[in-house]
Amino acid sequence: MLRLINLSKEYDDKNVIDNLTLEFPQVGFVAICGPSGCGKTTLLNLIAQLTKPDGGRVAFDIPNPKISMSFQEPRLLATRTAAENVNLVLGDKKATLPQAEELLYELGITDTLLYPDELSGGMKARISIARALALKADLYLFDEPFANLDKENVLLCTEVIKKCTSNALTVAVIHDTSLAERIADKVIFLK
Amino acid sequence: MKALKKLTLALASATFWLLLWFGASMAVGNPLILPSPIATFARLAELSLESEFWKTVGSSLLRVVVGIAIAIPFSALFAWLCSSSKIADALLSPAVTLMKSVPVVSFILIAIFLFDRSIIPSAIAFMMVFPVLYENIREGIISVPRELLEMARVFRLSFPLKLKRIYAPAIAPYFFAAVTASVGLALKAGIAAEVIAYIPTSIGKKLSDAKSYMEPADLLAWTAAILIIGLLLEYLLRITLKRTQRRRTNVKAD
Ligand SMILES: Nc1ncnc2c1ncn2[C@@H]1O[C@H](COP(=O)(O)OP(=O)(O)OP(=O)(O)O)[C@@H](O)[C@H]1O
Ligand SMILES: [Mg+2]
Repeated sequence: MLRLINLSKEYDDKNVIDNLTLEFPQVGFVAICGPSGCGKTTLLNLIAQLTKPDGGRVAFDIPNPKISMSFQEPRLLATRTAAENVNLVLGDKKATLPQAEELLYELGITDTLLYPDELSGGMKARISIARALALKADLYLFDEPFANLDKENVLLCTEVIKKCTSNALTVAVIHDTSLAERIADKVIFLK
Repeated sequence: MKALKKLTLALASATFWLLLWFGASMAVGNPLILPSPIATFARLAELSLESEFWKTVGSSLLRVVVGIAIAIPFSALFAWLCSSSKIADALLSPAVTLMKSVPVVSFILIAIFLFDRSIIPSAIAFMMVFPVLYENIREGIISVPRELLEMARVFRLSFPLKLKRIYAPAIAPYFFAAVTASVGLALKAGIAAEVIAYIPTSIGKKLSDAKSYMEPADLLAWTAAILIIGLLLEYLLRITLKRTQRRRTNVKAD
């Protein structure tokens, strides 16, 4: 599904990603661990093609794969409700709104009519996860999806993520190494 | 309580200036040079009873509104082009600078040579509001959060959807502020153009005639009418602005 070939990225002459070669499985849950500032977000941005590499490339074995992502910050539209934020990636039509709400319920968000500024950090994080899961994708990227969540919600979200992405590859940056080892099929350590 | 205090203060201030005007007209002592406020407003009331008055006000207003209405899509297009291409920016920005710095009368006189007289007030109103709209819309485009645009790119949101959900909410406050700020400008310049181009059925022609026939009460009455129209338009726009402006704007990325 996904291969990184001699991938390099530097910022201000500092090699953040240095000649990285990695092969990912077709499907499954891959966790990326590493200390703060080691380039985990940079790596996800490279895979999502939001950043251009300075060397090497990101290769997919299908042309034009569909990628979905939840960012390190929620990146929600302040002018839209929780449900509408999720519905955005479904085409922003009224007909798909129940589907968006359903996904939010599964993640434990019942106040789907509230706006982001009325929600807690953990709720916003889960809306961002729901938005990523709403899209049927070949590759799901999650940047610290559990950073703002308590233990129960981490378990709940893991379960829902695994259920929704069972036929796809999931790459998740997870700060907590022991958690990563418990829930992931494979753990990659970045230095 | 606060609103009452503000109103009292405004009324007191208005009374002060009207008294000053009244005193000045008494001192001059000749209504053919400086009519009193009472004479001016009496004349305005008299004029407003004639259907001709409303036809004149309507025609002048329409010309200015047409100019503004045409300037909106053009300035939005220019702002879009200039913020997405450096070449377009280099090519078009001198035109905007020119519009901003050339005196209005020069434009009016040049326009008299170039165009049919009837479109001149609209063209001048266009010239006045275009740079204001352009610069504000540009600033609005710059204010769109980069993080949200990245999000839109990952999810491959369509252009209309991005426009509606990301660009429009970010640009709207800048846009409405620009429109509110520029109506007064357009009205004044449009009427100046009517005076110089001597447009039939226009406030400008009324002003011009009042001057020619030495009727200062008419001159002041029409000026007061322009003032009232300008204030009224701005007030109406502010109300709509408040209504359309939602409480939330996409200033932050979350
Ligand atoms: N746009 C940028 N310009 C300059 N430097 C950058 C930029 N983005 C990231 N960096 C630098 O690259 C390094 C890696 O950043 P990155 O955000 O990928 O780290 P991270 O592993 O995600 O950290 P964290 O766990 O804190 O989120 C950091 O030293 C950061 O300062
Ligand atoms: Mg990071």
